[in-house]
Amino acid sequence: MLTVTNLKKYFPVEKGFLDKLLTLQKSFVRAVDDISFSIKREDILGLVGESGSGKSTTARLCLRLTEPTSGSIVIEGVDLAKLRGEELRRFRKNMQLISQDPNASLNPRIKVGQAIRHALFYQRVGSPSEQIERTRAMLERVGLKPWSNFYNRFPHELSGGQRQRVVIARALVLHPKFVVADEPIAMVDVSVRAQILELMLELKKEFDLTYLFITHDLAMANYVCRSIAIMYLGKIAEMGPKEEVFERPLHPYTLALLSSIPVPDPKAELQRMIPQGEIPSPINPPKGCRFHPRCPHAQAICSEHEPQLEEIRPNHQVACFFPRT
Amino acid sequence: MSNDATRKGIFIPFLRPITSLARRGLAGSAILVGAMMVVALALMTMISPWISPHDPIGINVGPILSPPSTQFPLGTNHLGQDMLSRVYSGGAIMFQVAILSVIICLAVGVPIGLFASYVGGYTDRLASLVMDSIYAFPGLVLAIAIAAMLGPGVVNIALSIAVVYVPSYFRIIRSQVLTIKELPYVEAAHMMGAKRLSILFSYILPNVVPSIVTVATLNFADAILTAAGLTFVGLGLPVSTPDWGWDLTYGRQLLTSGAWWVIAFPGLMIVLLAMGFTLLGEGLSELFNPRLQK
Amino acid sequence: MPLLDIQSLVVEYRTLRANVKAVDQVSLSVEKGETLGLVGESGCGKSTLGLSTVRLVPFPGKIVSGHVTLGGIDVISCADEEIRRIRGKRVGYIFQDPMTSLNPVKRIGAHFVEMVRTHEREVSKEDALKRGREMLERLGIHPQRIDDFPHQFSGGMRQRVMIGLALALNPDLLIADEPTTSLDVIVEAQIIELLKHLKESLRLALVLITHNIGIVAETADRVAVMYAGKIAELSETDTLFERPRHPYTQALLNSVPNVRKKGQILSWIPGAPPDLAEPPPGCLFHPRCPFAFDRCKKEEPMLMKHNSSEVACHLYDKR
Repeated sequence: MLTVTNLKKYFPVEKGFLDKLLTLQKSFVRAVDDISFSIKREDILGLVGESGSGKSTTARLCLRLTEPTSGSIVIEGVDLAKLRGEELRRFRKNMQLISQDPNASLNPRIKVGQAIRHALFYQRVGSPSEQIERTRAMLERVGLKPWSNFYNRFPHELSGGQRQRVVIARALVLHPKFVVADEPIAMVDVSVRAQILELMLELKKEFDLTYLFITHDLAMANYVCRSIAIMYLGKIAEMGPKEEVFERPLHPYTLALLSSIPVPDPKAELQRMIPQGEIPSPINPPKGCRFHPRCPHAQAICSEHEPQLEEIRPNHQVACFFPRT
Repeated sequence: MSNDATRKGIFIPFLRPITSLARRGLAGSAILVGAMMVVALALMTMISPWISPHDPIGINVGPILSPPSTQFPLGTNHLGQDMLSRVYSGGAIMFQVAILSVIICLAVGVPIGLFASYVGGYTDRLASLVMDSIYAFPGLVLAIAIAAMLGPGVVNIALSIAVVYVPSYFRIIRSQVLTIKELPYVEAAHMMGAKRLSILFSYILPNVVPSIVTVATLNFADAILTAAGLTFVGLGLPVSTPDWGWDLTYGRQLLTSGAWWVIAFPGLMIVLLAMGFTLLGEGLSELFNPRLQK
Repeated sequence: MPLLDIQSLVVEYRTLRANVKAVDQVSLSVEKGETLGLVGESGCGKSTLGLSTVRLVPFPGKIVSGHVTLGGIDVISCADEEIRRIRGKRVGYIFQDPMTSLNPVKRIGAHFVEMVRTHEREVSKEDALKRGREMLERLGIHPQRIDDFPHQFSGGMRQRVMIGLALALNPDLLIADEPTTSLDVIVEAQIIELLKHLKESLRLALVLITHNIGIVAETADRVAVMYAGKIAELSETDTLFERPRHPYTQALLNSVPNVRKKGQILSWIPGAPPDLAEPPPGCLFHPRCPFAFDRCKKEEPMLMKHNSSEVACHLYDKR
């Protein structure tokens, strides 16, 4: 369904006037640095990483909300880079975004029902009455029943969880094939999160959706996703089916992440493998393996050469010279 | 019975917004008070032909420079004109100038602000450069310069004020648009395949309107004061029109001879009108961007 | 005598619309060296409760009634002088957002100097800086960085600096309000380990305010679960997780994913927290409670002892 090949996105760093004069070299934020992966139809890929990992940028690239510096993104055979203007606008109904902040994702001046209907309106799907019908149906499908209670409300009149449902309704009313969810539950109350996730899973079955789930919350990723890709500083460190990555992690970074997750069980034994220091800046990533300065198992080769993704176990890839088998 | 009902029916549409405003605390009271002041003064000016006891520009309707008395409650000036009538009708020009300048500003400043900041790039840089240069000038000085170039007349004063004020609109709109442009709901509109113009008008503009309204009201206040200032300097209007600004000019000279009433009352009117608009503007701004959250 | 003793505290936010009871009749205590986890979702009042222990509730909030005693001193009624002496010296506070809690134009050293000398005027600037350097080292930051500005630190480091400042005067109690919420997973683990370590080495009492149940399970001796301004349940950590009594606690625990549990089915709580401006009658949780019965709709349950825990629920009130 979605194939990403050698994707790169560098953001130029704005320099001050003097810096521009004194240094000829341009520096870039290497947000996404040569990653390749693919998502099968109806799969749920979780793109997991901390800040600076490039996961959000990757999501935006896949939706062509921003242009890649190089590399290609192909959705159902269509090369995103080749689409322009009207073609691109019309193609957008196949891919939608559910973003993090339900407050900022909805126009505060537009009624909720209208906001959903806009999706149909801009894509010129159906007659006005059909659009309204579909919007009402969608409202009820996401659990906002009866639609009459919600259609004419403004976002600020709804709770956080309800707002996120509206965002989901708006994203799915066009029946897209591919949905990117960027931290969809991060800003929703803990006790309601599972409800939103369940809704997303149900809708996936109903509409045959493919999800790209962006998150830093490993526990949630474990719950919802089928495949996982762990990103670090713009590169994919490890990738594979969820069970493989969570139960037989190969990359030291993955091990570190897994051991850092707080466990809601006071009796659980925590074997923390916390690397020292913090994530370095994506402007000047470490040479060789990006993780080597913090890796407890780093050797000489790790600081000189960059490891590539290799399949160590069936379907389970890792970019490391010394995977922890 | 039916009379009562109809009377209530007329009042209720007015009562609702008033009571809901009153509930909004300080911001609401500012808006209410400001609005009442402006409306009161506007009404006064509008009905002045009917309530003025004398012709405001009629000379020698009374003794020259007489202090407030029962016959001339606000006194008379050096031309024997009745100050009360002048105060009633002196606001007309002010209002005209203010309204006209706001209209020009809206017509010019808003589109430029919207387009330049949405499109970004060199257009934005150029527009910002021009606007910042204008903004850098002290307002009154620039207004005087332009008014001197254009000559007297209501339209010209309005134009000179508008030129001075457009950058303020531009800046506010620009900062709003730049923020809103990056917000997820605009991105979502993008994702829905909306055209750029649609996004600009349906998504960005409605969210910028509150700040525009605020700037416009403060613009009114400023326009009033600038208009008075221009007339004070002699660049405003022909002498025959009754205008608070003119009264200020003459009143200042007459102050030394002890005739305080010539400058005091028109001055008070200007202050009240400017204050009314300012309160309205500040109240609106507080309403839209409340500082005390929760 | 407990270090921190809160008795029947009521804190209201007085808005034009209504008086909202952000904290409603809360009583709890913290002993020396103990860690209390204060858990709840957004809007439950936990932050307000934390702020009221040092009398920093922002306007329009007001402490309406109740007592807060810190090391024997009544925090609510004492003079301004007294409360200022307590803040920093007896109680350290870590605020929610490390990004904005530091003055961007002052070096870290200056922050330390200000902190120390406000309370101990005799201490010289050099001595204060020396203390600062020692503190940084203890927190895993290179002591030379005392001359850096806040923007030169990353999020995790800034949080460590905040902890350092809070502990600069060796208080007995540290209150941390969502200390790890804006941080990355690994950094979060680092900070939690740091807090655990400091707790041991300094014999610090810690009040950990958070919505993250996982870190509470790890660090707290006792846990208080708050809902809509009240304490729903208060018990020892082990007991709370093994035998949660209050339906809210049970539901909350069932909605949190546990990576170690295979095949976990997460559940959720239908509805939303109540609008405190117009609270429902009786128990505030009853509209969402699967076990609600008649009494719940009329009468507010009181926090009462049940075995070794305290629960505010009619299910356990056999009267």
